[in-house]
Amino acid sequence: MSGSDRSTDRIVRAWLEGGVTQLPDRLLDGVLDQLPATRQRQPFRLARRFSHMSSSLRYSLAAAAAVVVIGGGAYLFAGGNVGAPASTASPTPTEIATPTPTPDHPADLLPEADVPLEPGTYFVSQELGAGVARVIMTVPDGWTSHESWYVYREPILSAGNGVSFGPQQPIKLVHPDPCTSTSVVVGDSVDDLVTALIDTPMHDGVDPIDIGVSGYAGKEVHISSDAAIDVETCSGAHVSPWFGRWVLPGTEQTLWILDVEGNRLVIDATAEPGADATQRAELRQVLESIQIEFS
Amino acid sequence: MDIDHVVRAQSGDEEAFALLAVSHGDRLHAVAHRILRDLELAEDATQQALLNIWRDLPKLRDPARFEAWAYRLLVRACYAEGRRSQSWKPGLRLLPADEPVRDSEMDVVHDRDQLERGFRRLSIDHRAVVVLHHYLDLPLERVADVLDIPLGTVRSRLYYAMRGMRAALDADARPAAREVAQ
Repeated sequence: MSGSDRSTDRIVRAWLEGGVTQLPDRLLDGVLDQLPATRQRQPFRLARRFSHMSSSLRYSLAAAAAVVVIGGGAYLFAGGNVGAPASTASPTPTEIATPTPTPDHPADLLPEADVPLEPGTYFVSQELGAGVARVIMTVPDGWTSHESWYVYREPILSAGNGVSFGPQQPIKLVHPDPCTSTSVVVGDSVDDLVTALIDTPMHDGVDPIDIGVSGYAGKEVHISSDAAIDVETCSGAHVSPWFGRWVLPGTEQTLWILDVEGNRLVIDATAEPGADATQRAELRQVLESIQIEFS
Repeated sequence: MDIDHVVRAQSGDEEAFALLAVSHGDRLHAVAHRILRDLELAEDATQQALLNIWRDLPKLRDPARFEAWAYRLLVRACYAEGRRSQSWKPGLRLLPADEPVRDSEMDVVHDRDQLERGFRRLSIDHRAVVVLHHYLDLPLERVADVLDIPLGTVRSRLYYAMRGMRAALDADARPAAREVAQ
């Protein structure tokens, strides 16, 4: 190491000493307040158990799942592009035609790293109440996983042309104005969250649509952030529909808000303003492929 | 004792986690602030990191490695914060002037603005290595462990980062007109 290198190291070290050294109490309090509502993730016992099953057992379970889906009267609605429903009329439910996963392609846990996915069926495990919900989805070519959490095509919040899909962490605080940090506390039911969302200017005005997935009832709600928002003028320089979620101005979100054994599960299909028609169609395709298992 | 608190927190003991958050929170926040160079982003990253730590604690196999693992989650939260924030524009916001800087070093830190600009030009990858090594004083092997990257990558990132910082310092002597394009 040269004298110049040592000098630079010393200067940089001294410079780094400047800056905050204490965690604000309000921040710590905020974290601790959220602990009761933030379920700890157990090691993926379900995933391991599933992957160690024999093929015949997997086949049996997959077949059983199909029976549950159809026997439970689950249905989905044929939809248009995300955030742009064609009509406000009550849609006619259509039964799920092709339940997944198939016996030959059991679902895989999404990888933890950001890696391109082979087209296929994957699942995300989400702690939900006293149990675990497994959200199973079929992903086409060109999608990427993010930390066993959600999938996307083009990174969200980078170039503004991405789409992403995945379950959300529990939503407790909705921002009536996504440009401010003011929030309203929402209750635990599906209707509580739906009501809170449709009371915001983000809601597109279309009545929430009744849906059912794997026998679990819920609502489909469309929200979008105003494309004209100048984020620099927003609190924290963020556009945030609810606490913990940031989006770009002009982002459209299709939310499936489901009651899974008395627990609210929110699935978020997000399309940024630059997403093209193909991406949006794929996003809808992924959304409509989902199944939910709860144990 | 940390390990005891970690084990208890792993089984859902919120009080034990609170003790961990209190004992490690300051350091985590300080690191986030130095990586992101923005108080609001650092607060968001620290908050998210603490929640992620709580959420994923049961998956930590070796409680003795809590600290390194916690820094890893913090750096990930910084990455996420950097990606999420469209407003994250390098070079626009400086540290408040009243924040502590050791008096004995003031003579060598003759242009914090230049250092700030140089640092903000670095990627989060490079910043994290610089902060973990030069602020936390972690040996490079531990930096590699925290970031879960090869030691050679750590060395490479540190080399290029410090070269960038040195260039920023050198630029201090140049005409101000050359420093506008941030």
